[in-house]
Amino acid sequence: MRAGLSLRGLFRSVILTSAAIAALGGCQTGNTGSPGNTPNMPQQSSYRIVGDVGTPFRAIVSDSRSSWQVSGTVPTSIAIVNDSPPDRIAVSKTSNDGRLLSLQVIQGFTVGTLDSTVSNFGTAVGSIGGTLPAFANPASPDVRYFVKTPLVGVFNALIEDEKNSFALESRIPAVILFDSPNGGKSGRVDGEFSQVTFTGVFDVDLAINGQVVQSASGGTTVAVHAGG
Amino acid sequence: MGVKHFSGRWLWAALLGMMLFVDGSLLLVGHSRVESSAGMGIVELAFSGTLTTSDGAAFSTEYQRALLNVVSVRITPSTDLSLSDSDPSWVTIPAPAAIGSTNPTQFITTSLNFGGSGTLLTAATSILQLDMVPLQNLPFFFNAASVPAQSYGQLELVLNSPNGGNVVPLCPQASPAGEGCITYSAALASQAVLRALFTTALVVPPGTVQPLVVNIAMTVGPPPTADPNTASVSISPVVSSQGNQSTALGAVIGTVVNFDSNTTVTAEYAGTNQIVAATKLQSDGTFVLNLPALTTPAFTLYDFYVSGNGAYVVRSNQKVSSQGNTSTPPPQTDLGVLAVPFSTFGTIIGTVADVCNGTAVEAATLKLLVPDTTTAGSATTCDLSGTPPALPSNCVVVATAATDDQGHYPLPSTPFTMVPVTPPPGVPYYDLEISAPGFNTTVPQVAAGSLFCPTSRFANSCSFSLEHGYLAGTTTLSSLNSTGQRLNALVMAEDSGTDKIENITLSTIPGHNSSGVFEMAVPDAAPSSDAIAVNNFDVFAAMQDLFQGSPQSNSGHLIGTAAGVGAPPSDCSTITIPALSPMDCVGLGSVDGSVLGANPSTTSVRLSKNGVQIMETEPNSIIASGNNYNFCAPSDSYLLTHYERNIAGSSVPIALAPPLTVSAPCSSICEDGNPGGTCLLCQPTAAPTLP
Repeated sequence: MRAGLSLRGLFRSVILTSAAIAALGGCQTGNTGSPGNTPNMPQQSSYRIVGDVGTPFRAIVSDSRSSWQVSGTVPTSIAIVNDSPPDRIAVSKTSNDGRLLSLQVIQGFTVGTLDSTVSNFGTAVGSIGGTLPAFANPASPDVRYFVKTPLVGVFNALIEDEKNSFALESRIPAVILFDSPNGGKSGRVDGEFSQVTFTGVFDVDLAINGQVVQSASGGTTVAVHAGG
Repeated sequence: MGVKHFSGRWLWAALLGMMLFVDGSLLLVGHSRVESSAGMGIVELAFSGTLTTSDGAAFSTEYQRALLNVVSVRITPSTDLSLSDSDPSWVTIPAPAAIGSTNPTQFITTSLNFGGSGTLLTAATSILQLDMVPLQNLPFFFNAASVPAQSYGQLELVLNSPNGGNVVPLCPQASPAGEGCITYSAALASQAVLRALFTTALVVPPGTVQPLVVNIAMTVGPPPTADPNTASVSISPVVSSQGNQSTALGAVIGTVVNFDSNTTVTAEYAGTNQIVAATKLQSDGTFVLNLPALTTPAFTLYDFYVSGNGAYVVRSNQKVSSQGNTSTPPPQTDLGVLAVPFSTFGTIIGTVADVCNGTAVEAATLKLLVPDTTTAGSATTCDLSGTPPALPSNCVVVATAATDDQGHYPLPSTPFTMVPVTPPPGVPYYDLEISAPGFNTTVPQVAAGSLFCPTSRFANSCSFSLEHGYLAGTTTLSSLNSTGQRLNALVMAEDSGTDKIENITLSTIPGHNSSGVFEMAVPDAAPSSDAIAVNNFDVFAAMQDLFQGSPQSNSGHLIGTAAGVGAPPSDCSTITIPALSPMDCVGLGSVDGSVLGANPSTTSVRLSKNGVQIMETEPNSIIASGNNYNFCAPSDSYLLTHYERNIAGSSVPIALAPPLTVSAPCSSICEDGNPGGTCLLCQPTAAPTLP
């Protein structure tokens, strides 16, 4: 009888965690923090909207500073960079059918909360990092990156404003929400994306306040930027 | 996905991390698979289940939901139930994590995706959240996997750790008790049995596909005696399986002629684009699909289509039954000989925009429709027909696409990039159903040959501007919001008198205010001729409540309603509706009852307030043996109505008991219910039987 990761899975997790920590300069155990003397960041959090492929949804995602409405279809990954926890999410199906929509709230290696629905316009909810009593005001500026193809590919990204860089890794399709770049003031933002293994042509958009300001497509690496 | 913070530009660290990750992954590949010199076979895995309670009460009188967080199922040739977890003979069938893979002959795939697993630096494991309530009626396809061809002796269910499942109890019937209708963690009891020997060995010959149904008989312990921060609910899942002998699935057979290695047969629930399974063909063109189906004489309706090497071949509304616990198996559903006409292929391409402002419509759904003309007198196109206009019932969804953030479709390598330019014989053209929340659904034609749409706004494509109007309103409280926090309500607009929801939006009531505003796009009453008008809406809103800091699906605030508010008269016009009824905090309640003669696939019960349908039982959730259902809702007065195939039957009014007030220290579903350090503890209500 067994519930949970196998020893093999545990070993694998330890190896990958060690690799991540080593890559980041050997900082605090259990937290993929930052190199050198820079301060720790909260443990990473992200969301996966999974279930029946193609099920449309609308998500309200919020941290303590900003909130976003994200539309998409299953499967989609959502991450907030420059996150200010606690976070909260409500994902509603936007179809009248019995398809399954499942929400996975992920912190580091761990699926923190799970919720699912098969109802017409059913809603799945989750939170992470504490109590967020209400959704924050809509993000301003609303900066988001859409990584659309190659489907099911894996990419690394470096998301930057004029002072900070944030590295992440995800599966396509993904929506990356950049909370308060440049302290919420005007300035340059950019993103560099590269595929771990080439599986098809990249297609990446950068949208600010609902307008696509730059698109990029290409081979294993693309970059998008705006504001400078 | 994970996010790491780099202050400054320490790219070298990230690059090194990537290299280490890739290296680590490469080193680990191969350790997760058992190779066999005897070749490989396919195991297609489904779950069935039963639910009981430790005190003998019917599950639905004590609990609303029970969910298991399933990571994988493992099988091994060994019959030693104490076999080490790390024994190399274990073969894992994980939660489905990818789409678009190339599969061998007769490999069954589903449309499920539960994310990636194990290949990312910060990837969490893929997990299927298995809803045990409908599982009692209808098996659930989990995944299929290529496994070494051999004889297997036992299986193991692997649950997520530490969160193996969740349970939502109804309001408590005894004290001490925790709050009901909120989510509790499930704790595995010592009686749980997650390994089981096959009663007859699971034999997987090389190159074959073997169905495997794992039954989970789960007993749920007593309702919680405290709130979720200190209490959990014990669960005792006990797994078993018959090996290759499955009575829980219904068999569908047929023969395809004029096929090649790309030919695929796909099964989806009738009238939907919900793909349940797809399979390649045997070398002689035959196929067998084992599908989740109700026990005979009941049945589950499926649509089928053949695709991949020529024109589509479709069959609609085919009845499929399983043997279940009956003595004799039902006849297989035989689709007969399916001849694929010749066709070359093309792409349906275009954009979807908002007619009012020209902006892109993101995540719009496009369904390509083909009528099944094998029944004499049936429709030969999928044009809207009748009053109100609707798709003919013999139409089958043969491909689905969605728009991206710029309103474009299709994405590369998706079904719309490989559409036969020639429709089936007797079908003059395709139809394309385009829908998005808040817009009039439109069904334009797609010409044979070119695959262009004659009514497209741009030439040589299928580009459309979706029509809509706006609906503006107000959510209210009876008094000022004194919580000190903003209150968020999800507002939904549905076709009046139905449960068909058209759109959803957020309304926020600020602190020290008694109302919040909202505006949402909704279909209008006078769209163009190939779109579906909506003449009247019902609107309701549910507050997004927390319990001990965790968001909850069930609200302790009254549901705000406004019935029969009309619809925008024309494109881009706005109607302002009366304020929704007050959404004060009243605490939760629950109701449970039974409905006579339930058929899991056709029976539902809906909960209405002030003439607005606000809740419905989930598909296949009413168990035929007990005919029981339940709801969690704010304590208020409602109407319960029995529906058969979406047609209303008998109704009974019901008032959900008010919650008890309990003393501090305590937690409550909404702050308003906590004056003077007291809390609300919800109470159950029994409903009369619905005829």
